[in-house]
Amino acid sequence: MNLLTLRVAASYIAWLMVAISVIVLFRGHNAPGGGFIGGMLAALGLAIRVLPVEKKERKAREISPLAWLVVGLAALLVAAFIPMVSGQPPLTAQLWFELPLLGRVGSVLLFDIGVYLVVSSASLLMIYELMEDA
Amino acid sequence: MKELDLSFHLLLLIAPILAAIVSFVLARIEKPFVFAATALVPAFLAFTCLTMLPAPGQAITESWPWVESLGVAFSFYFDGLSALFALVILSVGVLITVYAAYYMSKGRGRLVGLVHLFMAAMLGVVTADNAITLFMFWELTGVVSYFLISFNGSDKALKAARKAFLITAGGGLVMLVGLVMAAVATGTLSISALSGAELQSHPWYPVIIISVFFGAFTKSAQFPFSGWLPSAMEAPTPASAYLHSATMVKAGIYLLARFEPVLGNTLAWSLTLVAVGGVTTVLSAYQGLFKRDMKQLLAYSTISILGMLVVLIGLGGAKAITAMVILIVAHASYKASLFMVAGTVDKMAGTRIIDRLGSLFQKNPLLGSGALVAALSMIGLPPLLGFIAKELVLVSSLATGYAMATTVTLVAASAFMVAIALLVVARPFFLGAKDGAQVAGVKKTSPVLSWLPFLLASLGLVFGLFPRLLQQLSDFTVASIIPGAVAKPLALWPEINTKTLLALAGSVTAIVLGLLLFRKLRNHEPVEKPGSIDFTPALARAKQLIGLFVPGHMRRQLLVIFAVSALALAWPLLKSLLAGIEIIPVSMNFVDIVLMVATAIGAIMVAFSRQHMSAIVALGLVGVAIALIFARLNAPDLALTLVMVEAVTVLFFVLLFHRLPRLTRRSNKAEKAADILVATIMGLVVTGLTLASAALHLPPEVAEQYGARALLEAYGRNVVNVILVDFRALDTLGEVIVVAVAALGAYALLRTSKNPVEKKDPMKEADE
Repeated sequence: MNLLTLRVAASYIAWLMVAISVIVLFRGHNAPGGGFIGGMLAALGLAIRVLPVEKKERKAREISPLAWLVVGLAALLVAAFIPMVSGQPPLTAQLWFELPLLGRVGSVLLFDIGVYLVVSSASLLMIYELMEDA
Repeated sequence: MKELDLSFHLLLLIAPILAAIVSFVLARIEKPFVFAATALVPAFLAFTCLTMLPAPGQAITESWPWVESLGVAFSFYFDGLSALFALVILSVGVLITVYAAYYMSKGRGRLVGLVHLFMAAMLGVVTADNAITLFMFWELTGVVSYFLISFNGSDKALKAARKAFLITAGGGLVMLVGLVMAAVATGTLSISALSGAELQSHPWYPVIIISVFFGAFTKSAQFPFSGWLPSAMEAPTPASAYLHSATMVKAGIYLLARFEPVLGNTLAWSLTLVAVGGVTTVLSAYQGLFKRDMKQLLAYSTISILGMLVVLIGLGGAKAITAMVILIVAHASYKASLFMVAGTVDKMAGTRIIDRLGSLFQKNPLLGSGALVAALSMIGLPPLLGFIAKELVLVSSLATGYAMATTVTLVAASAFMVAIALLVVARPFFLGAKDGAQVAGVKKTSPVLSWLPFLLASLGLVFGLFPRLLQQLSDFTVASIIPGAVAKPLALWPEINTKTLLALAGSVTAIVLGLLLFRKLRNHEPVEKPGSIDFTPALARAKQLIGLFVPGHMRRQLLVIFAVSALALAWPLLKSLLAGIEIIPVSMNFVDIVLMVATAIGAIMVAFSRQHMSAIVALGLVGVAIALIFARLNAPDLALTLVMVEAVTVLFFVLLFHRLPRLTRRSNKAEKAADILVATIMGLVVTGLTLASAALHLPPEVAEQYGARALLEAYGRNVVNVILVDFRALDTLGEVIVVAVAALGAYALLRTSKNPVEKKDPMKEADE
């Protein structure tokens, strides 16, 4: 396959994969899917984005995995400890509101989002570094 | 008990954390004033503590449930003892925050932020009521202290930080064991609910007190754990002034004082404390005599005072505890002040070695006066608080059974301390520079850096002249430790009786001896005197020993691991095999058989391929085949996860392919044979285990319960996901954090393996 074709197609494929990974994340509670699977899918998608590109342009296409890792960890910790504000022990599931497409949104979804972010950023952290010499 | 609208304890903890966050966020701002302003937080908290001071024998308590079934709670207890420590932590903290803001040329925000974080952790330690809460904050002080000691990032600092952390964290773990045992013995994890009578007659008592001793002795650098404190002087001076004089090292003292009413009053307790404290106080002061760096001198004298405090707790009784209170206050005031003086001198003259300094008083009279007042308090001359402290210490030591031994020890230690005080202050400030030594040119520094030590030292003068100011606090503290008792009335001039006269004689002897020592030492060449136990060679030996069992090559490591686990698992497996395995039949059709064959082929290909690429592809094949088997067994989440993991793994391998070194030699026949043997045995063992465990009939209720509740209680139809992120979310939390940490580690390794060139370190100039 022509490298140029791949380079152009890579962006579209990548964002498609990320979109699907988000769908997988949100459907996880009621159908196969969830944070882990979605996170790895997102990591793969974003890796594909960077894979066929020359070294110079690579930086422009990379997201910042460390930042997202921190956001993910923060989401996890908030979801875990926010019940303490109202006197409940940590990790008590909180129900916040209902949305038409997403269904019930609560601390559990926040937790899953945290898992998603951590898994994808952790993988990307290593993948980006490995790509440096490749 | 007092009723509160806003939680007092939460305020104490959260306010400094917020101040820390503000400092970190604003770190780029160059103006010292901004960071000095954060000192308003501890000032406000100190004021709050003063107004909330409970009556003697009473306390403010608050509690939040944490793990109710185990009795673990986030609970706090504020009594006289907590108040004493909290006030010291906060008041010294105010001054240190301002000092740090003006002292650092770079990294202000980070240092001030860390100081605030430490303040919060320390406040947590002295107000914690639940053993687990105490342990949590105890370890937190160790963690923040690591960041403070290693602040400038140099190799020396990192090594020192590691040493300090290992020693104190190790002690902390042992302490945890003791605390948990005490909890099991008495049935409660709450510290205030512990019953002394129950514990002292319990068969576990010796183990419990030894564990508590470990925690206290490591944190407070008692013999033989003193090694970490002198090397911790690598920390920036404001940090040393705070941690290693006024707060962190006092945590061990707090622990001993807190547990004294519960674990004390036995010979084992008192004797050990007096013995260890006594040895520490004399030994460390003696070692300090031979140092020439101001901070090192101060470090050793701090260890010595900590030893004295331990002895006082061991002696017990209202007199000794009053002495402890006054000594804590006096020491905090003069030691932190002297550390600040050392820092300012460092900034002014570029060095802290006393041999290179001289006649500094003329150049900075304000600093010199502050140093002088602090030194006089350390020496123990009236009308300073240090004098009252010393008198009380000696009087309480004379009042006990082993009066002579302890008093002589304390007098000797005091003599050494007098010499150290003179070395730190008289030599650089009042004597001329040593002949031939180069006196570094003196720079102008911010007046704040000279005012702060002066103010802190003058507190010692104020309290010395009006000791009644401390009477209320002393009464409260003594009452917390010895229920119903009251502190000795404090006065500058003690009542005249045999004991006080003897004590006075002791002090005078100490001062005279100290002066003589100083005369001998003031131009002494530095000498290294070993005395504390250095754990580094022991650690190196341990590393060597472990290296025998875990050879460097990963191949060999894996071989050893598999061989050992196969051997360990073989025996129980054989036993259950002999008891009969039941093989559960599963219906298979053509597709399943194809998948199994594909898996086997893939595995064989991985083992026998001659090229990396084909091995990687075969690995992918094995993974996908297994995933399909999962899918056919109605485990879609498992299958999806495995497919994702396979994809990422293949990607990793392909990328790593480039980094792999050329294979220089292939395994010879013998190695291949060993590999095949171990692999086969391990494979058989694992298969056998799987079959044996499948034969175990686990109660189906667990699965049914999860299935039933998933929809009703967790609103989810996917049981697997519900279990992962809801029912068993705690496990997931731990696993995900591990993933994050592992990724960060891999990231760091990958980065450093590329550039062996030394990184530019901007923090290095921060404290020089």
